[in-house]
Amino acid sequence: MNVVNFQDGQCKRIRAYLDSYLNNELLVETNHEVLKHIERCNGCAGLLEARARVKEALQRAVRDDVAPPELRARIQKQIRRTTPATRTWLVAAAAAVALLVGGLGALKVWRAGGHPELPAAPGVASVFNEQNASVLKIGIGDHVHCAIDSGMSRLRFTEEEMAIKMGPDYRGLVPLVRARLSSEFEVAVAHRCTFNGREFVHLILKKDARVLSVVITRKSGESFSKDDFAADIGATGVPIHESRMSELGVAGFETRDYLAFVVSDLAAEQNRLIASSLAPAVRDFLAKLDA
Amino acid sequence: MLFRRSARADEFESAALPHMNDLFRTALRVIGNRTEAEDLVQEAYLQAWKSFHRFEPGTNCRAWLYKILFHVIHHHRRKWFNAKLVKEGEEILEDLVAYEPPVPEHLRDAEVLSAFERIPQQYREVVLLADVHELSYKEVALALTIPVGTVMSRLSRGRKLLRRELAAIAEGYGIKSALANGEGA
Repeated sequence: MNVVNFQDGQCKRIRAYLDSYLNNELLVETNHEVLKHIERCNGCAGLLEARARVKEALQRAVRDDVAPPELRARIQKQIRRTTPATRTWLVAAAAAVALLVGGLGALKVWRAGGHPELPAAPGVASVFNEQNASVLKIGIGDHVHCAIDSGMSRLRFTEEEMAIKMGPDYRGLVPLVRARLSSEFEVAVAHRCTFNGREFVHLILKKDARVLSVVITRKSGESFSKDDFAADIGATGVPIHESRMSELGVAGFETRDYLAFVVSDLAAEQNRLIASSLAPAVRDFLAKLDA
Repeated sequence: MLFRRSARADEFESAALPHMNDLFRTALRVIGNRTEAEDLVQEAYLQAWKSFHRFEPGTNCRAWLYKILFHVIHHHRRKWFNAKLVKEGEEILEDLVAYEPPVPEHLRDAEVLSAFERIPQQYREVVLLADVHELSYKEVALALTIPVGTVMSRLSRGRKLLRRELAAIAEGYGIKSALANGEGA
């Protein structure tokens, strides 16, 4: 029997806390307040007891099920025959080896328009799949062509130049990117460029001798594979796909209509972290453009 | 090399496999089919193994595994149902706040599970993680990639829906609910 005592509105307030009380998610003071109240209010005490009963019944019913014994064996078998992705330092070491044994030549061929496959260093291949590797190459391509080969990274635009070159749609990206990176990174160039017949919105950032590009382009039928579960889904909820080519790291993400990349000669983890911190804001910015 | 990989696999198994039953129960209650649940758990473990280099030893392995499991489950649902998870009419559910339906004293497992299955998936997910597996709100938020505020509101609504479903059982027993008496409609 539920006896409701709404005389001072306290019951209503306490009842809103009952579930959190059961889950130990209340602050000490609120916890104490609930305890004191239910000591003298039969209605709320009854409700608390009913809620605890429901929780226990659900726990008992769900926990009654166990996985079949063969599932464990299946998982173990699969693990033993699958090569895991390696730690970052192993990836870097593998990339360095690939570079020494001819990766540099491959990069030169690629810069000249040959576009060979990304180097398949041992232990790296499992991090990404073919489809994602080809999408990530779009971002690396513009960085290498524009920031490095064309020497744009040696320039320094004024705020006004950047605003004009980005145009009204994209100029807002400059403060957005600046706000999310450490002040050690200087936005040197923000412009729109073309490579391989494709248009890009391109920001070049510099930190000492390091060069980082934020590259955005409209999709033209490309998309990251949804099967890349190795993608870093991070705390932001935006899947980040990544790869390395020689000394360059690339981390990419997508919206409905756009592909976005962070390409740099920074350590892989730092490159990924920058992409993760930019992804939600850039995604929202691009979504507004589409709206 | 073989030795190193084997040691790494051992490390993964000892950290991750103890949670297999909880992951299976979660998948089963979200998907509702044992065979599919087994496949999804196996897939989640494979993805976890592939991403094990990103797992920081000493951090919460269980929450990390749930995150991967739900990534796999949501991907699976999108693939087969070709639709994003539908947001329920949450504002309608607010109407349920006003009354507390009586819950039967004795609940059989089958009745509880049947009531639970009638709750929309997005609420079942948070109730499973928070109330059954007792993850903190923050861990649930991490596992489902939603804000903590959303966890709290979905939990509150999920629990209300479950109580409503259980109250229907109570009515079947002949216990009249407050709603039937015209309160809080």
